[in-house]
Amino acid sequence: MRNPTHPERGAVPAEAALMMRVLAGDRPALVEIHDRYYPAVYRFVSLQVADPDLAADLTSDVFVRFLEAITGPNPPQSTLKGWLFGVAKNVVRGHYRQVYRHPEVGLEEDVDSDDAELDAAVTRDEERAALADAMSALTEEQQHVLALRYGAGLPILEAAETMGKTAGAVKQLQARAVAALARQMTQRTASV
Amino acid sequence: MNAQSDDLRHEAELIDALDALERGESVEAVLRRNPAAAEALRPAIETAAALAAAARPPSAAQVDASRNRLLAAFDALAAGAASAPSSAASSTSAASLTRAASQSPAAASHRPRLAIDRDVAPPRPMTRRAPRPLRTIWAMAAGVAALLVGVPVAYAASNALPGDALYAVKEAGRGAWLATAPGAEAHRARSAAVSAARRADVAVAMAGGRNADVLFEGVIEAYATEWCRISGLTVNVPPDVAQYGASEHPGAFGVGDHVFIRARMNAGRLVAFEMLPYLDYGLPAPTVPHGPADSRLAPSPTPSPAVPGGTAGVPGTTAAVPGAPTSDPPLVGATAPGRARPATTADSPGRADDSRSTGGQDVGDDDRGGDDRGGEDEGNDDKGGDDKGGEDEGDDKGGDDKGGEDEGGDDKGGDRKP
Repeated sequence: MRNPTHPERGAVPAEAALMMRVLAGDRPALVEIHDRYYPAVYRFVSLQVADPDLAADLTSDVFVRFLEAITGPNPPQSTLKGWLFGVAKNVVRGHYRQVYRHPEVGLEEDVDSDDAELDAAVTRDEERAALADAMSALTEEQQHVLALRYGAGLPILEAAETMGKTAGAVKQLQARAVAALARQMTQRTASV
Repeated sequence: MNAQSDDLRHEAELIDALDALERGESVEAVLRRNPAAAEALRPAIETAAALAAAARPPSAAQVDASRNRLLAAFDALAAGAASAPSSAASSTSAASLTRAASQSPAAASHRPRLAIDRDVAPPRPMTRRAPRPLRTIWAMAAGVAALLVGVPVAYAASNALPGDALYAVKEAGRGAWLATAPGAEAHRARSAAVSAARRADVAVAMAGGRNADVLFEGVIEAYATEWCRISGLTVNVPPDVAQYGASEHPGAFGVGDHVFIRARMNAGRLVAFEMLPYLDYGLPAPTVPHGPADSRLAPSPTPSPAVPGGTAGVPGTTAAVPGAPTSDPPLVGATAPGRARPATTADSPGRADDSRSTGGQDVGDDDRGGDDRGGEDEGNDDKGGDDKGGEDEGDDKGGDDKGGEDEGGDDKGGDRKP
């Protein structure tokens, strides 16, 4: 589509052409989409899901869903990046919904090691898990903005475009989300 | 009132501090910038720093595994659709993908897992599997069923036209044929053949007076105000869909451009509702010879290259029949004010982008963020609350609070609707 009256909108057709190539059965186009967006979507997911293997599986789900959607009767109409993060948000939400319905049987892992490096890695993982856990108590939008900004690492303008908001709105939402998360972390630390 | 203004001031200070942190300043440096508010800001700034450190990139193995899984699903989709036991392509797609997904480790991702699993063994499907002899019998039965049902369906699909339920099967067969091309050269040849076959299908369907949506690609051979001829097919292109002629509209389409078209066939006419540059990622322009450039709308037949597999080599190729209106305005041809450019593989992505970027393009970006076709979006994306000027953006809806854990100070003003 071409509309010279909106010159500020530029790069989207390359994505659309990629999607149409996938529709036409072009494997390299599919690989290009996957490799271009997988890292950002993974970081987006991994901020909310502490287990790296699970984050990888969920990220992979996002791309299979993309393939399902693009070959279905109603292919994505939004920007590809926005669509992928939207689906990633829902995949993570679906995962937690499933977890709440069928709580994981936790086994106490008694890590007994003198290895300082391992200890540090465990501590980092615990911090990640605590953050992901605390994030799950925020509103959907707050989680989304934090995952976009700190997970996927999107600049403010791209996050604003992805969320359909102004840059100012995203900054405000981000600040509130960070403050809410800090309160959650403080509460959890106090309760422990 | 004072409490509210204090909250707003604190929020503004936090936004400034987060900006500074994002620019690379350390937590302590950020806090030193505003000593009066340092203690109040510290928890949030430390949390933001922890968040930034928590995100990690994927490993190469994770990327590879995901790519392989996606390609397996893609192949299953193509193969499943090519021998589809169902006339509905979408259900075929879903079934194939579900099958492919269930064979991957990610199928277990939505199920509860023992916490220790990740350290002991890779995630694996937790579905209960039948004993091997039974699985073999099932597999054989499924194979026979696929043959019994799939072959007649595939045969019927080979004659399908746009608008037929089986046309999606025919397209999937083409996709599979493309996907299995042995090498880049073969892929290019097949791609060109598929493009020509699609246009031939459109021409036949138009001649039959069908009403359906179609997708095809081709080269702009000539154009008029709202019409253009694309590799022999005459298409009505409303100005809100595309414009032509680089001299009149910088960045617009011109003669020789290779384009994708989504169009609606109606009463023997093709009306485009989407037109995109076909960026050359190694695929050739269609091999269809250009018709007379400056003639009135008398579309030339669309020949199909001879490739094994169908009447013209492409799975499910139909005969090329000219079909287009004959009472349309004259077209501007290769000598038109537009850029006369040969339709060859020399059309590089960079060229296509560069020459058009001035015009700006818009492909469905009105539905930004959250356009979820998976049916799970609960509509909580606030798209109407983008108040400019730093007012409350309506970002925190009351319904989003979870289990009351979001304490009062969290959603300051966020629950208020404008």
